[in-house]
Amino acid sequence: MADPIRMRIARDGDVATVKVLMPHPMETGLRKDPITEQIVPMHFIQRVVATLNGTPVLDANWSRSVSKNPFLEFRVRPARAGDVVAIAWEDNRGESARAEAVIK
Amino acid sequence: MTPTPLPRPLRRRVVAWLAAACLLPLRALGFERNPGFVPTSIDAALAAAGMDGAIESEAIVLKAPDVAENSAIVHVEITSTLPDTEFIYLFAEKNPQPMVAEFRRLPGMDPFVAVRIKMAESAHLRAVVRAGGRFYYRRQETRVTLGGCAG
Amino acid sequence: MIGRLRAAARKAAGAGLAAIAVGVGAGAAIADTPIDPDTERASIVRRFQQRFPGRPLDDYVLGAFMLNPAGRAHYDDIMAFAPFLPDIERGRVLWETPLKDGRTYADCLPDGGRNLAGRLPRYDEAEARVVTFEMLLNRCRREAGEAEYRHDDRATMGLLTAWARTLSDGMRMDVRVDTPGARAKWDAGRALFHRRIGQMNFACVQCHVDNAGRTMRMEIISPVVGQATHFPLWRSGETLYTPHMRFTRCMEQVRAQPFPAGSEAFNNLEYYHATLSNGLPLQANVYRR
Repeated sequence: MADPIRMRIARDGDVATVKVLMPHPMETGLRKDPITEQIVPMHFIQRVVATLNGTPVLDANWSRSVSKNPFLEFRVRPARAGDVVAIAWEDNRGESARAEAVIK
Repeated sequence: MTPTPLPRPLRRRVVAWLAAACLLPLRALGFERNPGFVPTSIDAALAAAGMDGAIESEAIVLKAPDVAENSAIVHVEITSTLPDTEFIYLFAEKNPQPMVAEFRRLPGMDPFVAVRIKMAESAHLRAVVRAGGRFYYRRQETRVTLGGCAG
Repeated sequence: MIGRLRAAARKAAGAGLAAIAVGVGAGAAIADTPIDPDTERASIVRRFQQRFPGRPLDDYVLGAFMLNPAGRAHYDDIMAFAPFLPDIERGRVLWETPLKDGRTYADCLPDGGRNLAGRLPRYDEAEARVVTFEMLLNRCRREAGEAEYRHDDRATMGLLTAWARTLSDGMRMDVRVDTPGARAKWDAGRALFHRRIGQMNFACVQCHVDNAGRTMRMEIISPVVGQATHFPLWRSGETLYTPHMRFTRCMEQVRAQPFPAGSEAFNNLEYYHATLSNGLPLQANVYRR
């Protein structure tokens, strides 16, 4: 995957809101390519795991109904400045990506 | 986002986890796909996921547009105030595969998620929450109207 | 050319009134009246202010979302973390990659390309034609010995403008019509804006001035004021439209044969269209339905 995961974190006291954008085509397997007229094969993020300082806090399973370039928002608590949030995903082809960001 | 360098011990821990999560498949952490993820009707999907006995609950807040601007990106937020919320699920009842997402909440996360989804047609959205081992749900109708001049 | 367009507009206005739910307002009727750009903009703005009282002019950059609170909330949700951000980054790579002569677009354009988009299109006296932002980018390519990008290619010209236009975010639209040559092109653009076209026999002005804010086929029609400030835009959050691609889509929807992207007809239309947004703040890359 050429495009990196993007994360934005806003901390308010001991709660941090994490917003994530994961560049991915999220093909349903139902769409026809308008030029080749061939069905575009299913290709979607199946699993997303988020950690706070290395400990998993969210373990998500997705279907192909999640939008292209998926957006995910969640909140971690307790959150302190300097804590690290990491995101990793894996898709149905076994491709994967990860990113991490520090809470300010 | 530019990751700032971490203190070394912390970085080692994160890197170790991410190595486990990425280099080995995520499955290595223990991964079992929910049987509700099948192309079928909403009722069959709920039954497959063991949620057919779920109880309607106003302790779940499902925030989604009444009329979706665009069926390709419907912004949905789910909040649960049920004690011991363990899982949050989202279904689009008329999608070819109704189960859209399963979120397992682990210690350190609030019982809230937001995600953008595709809807095949106007339908009820259904949030299901597993809390204290029991299933609860909340529904909301979302109409999709893309067409006309925006088409 | 202008005379022909006006004649066509007159003929169409006379012939096409039947069975159209959309009313024909003053717009079509004033097509023949000589009018200068400032008066034109002021008169259209005045009509909108009567129709949408109390609405600050800067809100018009929101288009139809200005008139639809639920749509506006969705717009804000999407724009808070837009799904097309990765595509804009791809545009940045195109922008930063040196051309064959080793120079970049920033080297080629005045002030590194900053605060430029809001002054375009402009009339070039030497070339006696309207020059658009896309044409300036292609001029850089040509001078560097590179092949020009096609004006209808999203993956090259589209993405390049997606980044390049962000360098003008926040500036206020300032498109000038200062000379007789410029005025002639602006008049030509105005004539096209008022000309009924296609099987549906609609003119731009009927929808986006006369009936702006009303609902047609489940859609709120956006006012023309503000439209030029936010290109490229992203339909569905994923499909990029430059100004000419958007004009093309409009023409297809009234069942007309569109002019080619990059054509003189569209350049002149864009020139006229941009002056109607003068004074409004630019923001490249917005979500549209």
